[in-house]
Amino acid sequence: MPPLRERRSAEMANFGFWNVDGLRKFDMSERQLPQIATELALERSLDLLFLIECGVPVEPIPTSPEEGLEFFAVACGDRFKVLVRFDPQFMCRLAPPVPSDRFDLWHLKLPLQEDVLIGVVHGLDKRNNSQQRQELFLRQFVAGLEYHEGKAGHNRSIVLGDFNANPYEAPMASALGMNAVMSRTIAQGPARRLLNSSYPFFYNPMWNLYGDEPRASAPATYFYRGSDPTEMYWHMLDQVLIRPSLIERFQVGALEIITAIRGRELTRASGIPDRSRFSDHLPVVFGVDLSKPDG
Amino acid sequence: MPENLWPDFDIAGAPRSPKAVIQEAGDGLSVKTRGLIKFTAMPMLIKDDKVTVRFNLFVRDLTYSYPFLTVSFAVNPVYPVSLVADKVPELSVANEEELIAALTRIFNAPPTIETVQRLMSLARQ
Repeated sequence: MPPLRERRSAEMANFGFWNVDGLRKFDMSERQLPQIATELALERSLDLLFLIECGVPVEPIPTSPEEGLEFFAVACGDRFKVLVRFDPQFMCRLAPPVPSDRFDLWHLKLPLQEDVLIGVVHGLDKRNNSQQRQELFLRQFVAGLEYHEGKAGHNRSIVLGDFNANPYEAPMASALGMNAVMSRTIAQGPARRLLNSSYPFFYNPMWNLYGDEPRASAPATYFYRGSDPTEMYWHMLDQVLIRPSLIERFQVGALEIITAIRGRELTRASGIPDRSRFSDHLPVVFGVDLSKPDG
Repeated sequence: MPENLWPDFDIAGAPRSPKAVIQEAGDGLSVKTRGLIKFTAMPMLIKDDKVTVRFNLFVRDLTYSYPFLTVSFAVNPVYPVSLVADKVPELSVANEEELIAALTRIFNAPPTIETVQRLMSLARQ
């Protein structure tokens, strides 16, 4: 296993995403969702914030436009809200060959920086869909992304969201789903070949965040106590995946599950996400170095 | 009015934070670029007794902040300070004097000059 080589760069784009569980019908006044989401963006100096299952209005964040701290809304489907700290014209929304209200795609082209493709996904839930159906949905998303990777002429792609599946489950790990692996070495190797077809990998860095150390972190992003004899309790449904071309640019040290925003705990005393006040999911932040190669 | 029980403090003698030193040093960019580019600081993040601040080159005409410099230091003592600048090798400084010398080096580095020139060109398009 090669040692972890992280590029240290100032040109880090800070990303955040959060399933805010905002499609439920309930009294929004009891939840501090829009405020806490914008505070997350400010506290973590996020350049891009993706809110999933967000049916509530989230106003552009009022800050000082003279300091470049202003946030703007990017065009997206009703299921999402996307706020960015730059002119939204730098983030062009893409139309996938098979459209869906459960995913969205953009081409991010920031001045003097490497362009990347970004996808946000809200995977089909397990309650109403078979595993095969979850995989098929994700394969349709990947096909749309690959179509735009071909048009862009590169595969610098970042995919994030609530996939409604754990990293070890078939929708994430199967070649028929996201084909996302835990190992940089495998991801950077040859694409998987099955029955004379090639399936390019994603690298899934979320494997690194499992477990309850350090103490201030959470074991995963979502808690569910099922009735099966084997129950994991904590589930890593919220994940960021990157193509191998971005592995050296991805800052694993900056990848984090957020449990508090400006001192406010997003979990109850038991450590379980506080759904009544915030969301049943915890947010995730990460950084990607978008600097252009020297010369 | 009760007597003020607090002692007199040496305000001028209080050490400046690295953020304040860097912001003051960077403020001159706006003058040098005739207002096209501003040197701005993002909100400080304090985590595990470590402070991280990112400084940007903000081009108002583009509504765009180019990430230029990331600085990190302990809450106490604040030195050494680590500086990771755009296309410049990472630097570590032990005091304010070294910090100013490092900023001079970063601001005058050829990649920095090229970046500022290119941002100015974009802003004027």
